[in-house]
Amino acid sequence: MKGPGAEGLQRLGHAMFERVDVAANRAYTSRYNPLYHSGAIVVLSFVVLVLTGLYLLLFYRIGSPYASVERIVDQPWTGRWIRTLHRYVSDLAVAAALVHAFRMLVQDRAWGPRALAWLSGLVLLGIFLLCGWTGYVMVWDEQGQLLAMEGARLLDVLPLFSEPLVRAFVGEVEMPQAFFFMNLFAHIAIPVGVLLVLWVHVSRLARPTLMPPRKLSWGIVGAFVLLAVVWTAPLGAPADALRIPSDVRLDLWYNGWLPLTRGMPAPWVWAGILMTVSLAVAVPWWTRTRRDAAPPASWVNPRHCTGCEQCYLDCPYEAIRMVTRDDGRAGLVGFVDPLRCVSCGICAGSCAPMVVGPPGRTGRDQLREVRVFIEEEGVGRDDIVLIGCDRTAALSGPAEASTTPAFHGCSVIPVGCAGSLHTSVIEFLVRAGAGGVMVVSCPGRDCWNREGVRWLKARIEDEREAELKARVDRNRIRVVHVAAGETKGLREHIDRFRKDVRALDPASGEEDIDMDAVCDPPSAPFLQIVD
Amino acid sequence: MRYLPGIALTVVVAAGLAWTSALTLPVDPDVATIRLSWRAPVVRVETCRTLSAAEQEEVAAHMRRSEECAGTSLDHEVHWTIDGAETVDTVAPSGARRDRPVYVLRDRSVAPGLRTVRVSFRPVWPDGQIPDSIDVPLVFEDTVRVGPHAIALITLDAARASLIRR
Repeated sequence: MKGPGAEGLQRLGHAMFERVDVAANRAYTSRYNPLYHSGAIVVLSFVVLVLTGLYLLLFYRIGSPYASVERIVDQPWTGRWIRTLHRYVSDLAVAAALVHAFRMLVQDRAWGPRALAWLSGLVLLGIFLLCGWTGYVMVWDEQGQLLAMEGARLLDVLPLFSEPLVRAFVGEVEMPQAFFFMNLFAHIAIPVGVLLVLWVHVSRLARPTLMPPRKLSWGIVGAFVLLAVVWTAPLGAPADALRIPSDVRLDLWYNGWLPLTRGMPAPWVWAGILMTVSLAVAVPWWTRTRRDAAPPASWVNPRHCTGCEQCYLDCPYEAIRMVTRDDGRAGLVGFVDPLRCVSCGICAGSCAPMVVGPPGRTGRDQLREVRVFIEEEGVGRDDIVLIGCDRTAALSGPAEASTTPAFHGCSVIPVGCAGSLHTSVIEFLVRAGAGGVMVVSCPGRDCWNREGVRWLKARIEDEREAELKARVDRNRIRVVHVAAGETKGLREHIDRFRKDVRALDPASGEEDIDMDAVCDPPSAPFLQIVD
Repeated sequence: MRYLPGIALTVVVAAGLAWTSALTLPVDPDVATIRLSWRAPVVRVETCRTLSAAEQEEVAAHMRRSEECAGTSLDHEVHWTIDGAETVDTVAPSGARRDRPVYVLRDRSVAPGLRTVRVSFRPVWPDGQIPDSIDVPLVFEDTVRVGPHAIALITLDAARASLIRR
């Protein structure tokens, strides 16, 4: 049970993203869908901003800010489009950050061990907004003047300064040059904070992906460079303390709030800011699943753990570490930190002896469930069995009249994440006589547990532990990656697979498949697999 | 060719972002502003008494004073009339102890053109009585021409002795 409205908002978000993802996958393919790389696009934007900002810094003068920006705009081959690129990419950074945040909220990835990422992400967004504020003030056109006055008005409410700051902008006294120096300093110093906070933001992730795929990166940069060349960002009229700004072009992402706050008393604006920040900060608690309903953390059975380190290597959240045994035996044993574990179950898929995983979802538990499935449903030689993660297209769409989930004439065995699937389950189904086994996962970069699809693929194709044994007929196995809304695409995959399976020799099932023979005997002599 | 739809969509989204980067802020074309802005020293009214020798000896030598004063910093009133419409504002000395200067900053929107403006600025004396030895309040009275989107600033002159239009 979550906070009031949280589930409703997440359902609404799912429904929206289902449609949008399908459309974006059609345009970009799922590998390059920018919505799957929204966080990395923010980092890409930051890199572009730093590079273009360095160029602009060469020509900006705090003694004559507006005139120096005018000179930059007058450089037809460089300055004009570089300044414009700097401005447009700064908008991209905020837009991508908001998409990323909303996506994480909708995908229920903002609470528990991931709360730190959420909160640090809010700080990062705040840094970008502050940096943008100072950037627009630097130009010292009418928009910059409005922003500076509004900022001064808000700060004057706080008991911090001995003299009202807004006096510097009303024409009574000359503009102090120190103001532009401070503003420039802030604009350059604040981004340094981005690096530090970004480090915190990804600190609980193994192998964080900081940049989009190369083609997508160059595509985005190329599109924005082209746009910057053909559509120069306007430069407003110069700031004048004794003129009401009349030609102001607002940037929706950085100061779209100005029309709302200008007529409002400053304490009310502060109240609005505090309320917005409080709501955003409260998201990890608002979306948190109640403790007794939250999925339990994984657990390693120390008695049977061989210390192979595969779960430690595969965990996307660095929640598993290898520690020295305290039972007198030599070697290391896996230990799951419950404060970091999000219960994705990927460790269950990594463990050949099946001794790690969330309670009820270890490899052994999965085998038990599939045995029950076969006993109750049976599998025929023409049957395709789908194994899909909870968010897959195989489990969406209208429910068919059956106690077992089904999709397009195929029974569906749901798993929490495709990466948690133990390959022994696939082997078991094939040996039981299923015509084919299709594993349906989310698109690789949209895996809610980051690396589930990657490890699944490696275990099936590249002999990564716990690998699908060579004795299993690969012709009877398919792995497809479809977004939640791509039901039509999944049906097409199934139809193609059915056709391929019919062309194979009929599958022969085995009776009484021995579970101990499913996986290799353990190497440690004292290890005993207990059913 | 495979990525052509994606490239086109990227350009469209980028153009959309560019459009949102420069939205026009609607501005009233027929507006101007009369602005009052100055800083005045705080006026403090104190009652002092001379301490006796005995009272001084009660205090450590480095803290002895010949007089003891108690008082208050005065609020100021700004009366301003534009074309007959009067506004009275009270301005308090700044600072937590009311010992910092008095800052006046007021804006009023007006229609462009000729405006009759009268401003007076005076401390608010206790019991409404102004001591004879204190200077008369600062006053500005004039017809001010203010153009569209212009701000007519009324402030202290360089000598800080009178109000002028800048």
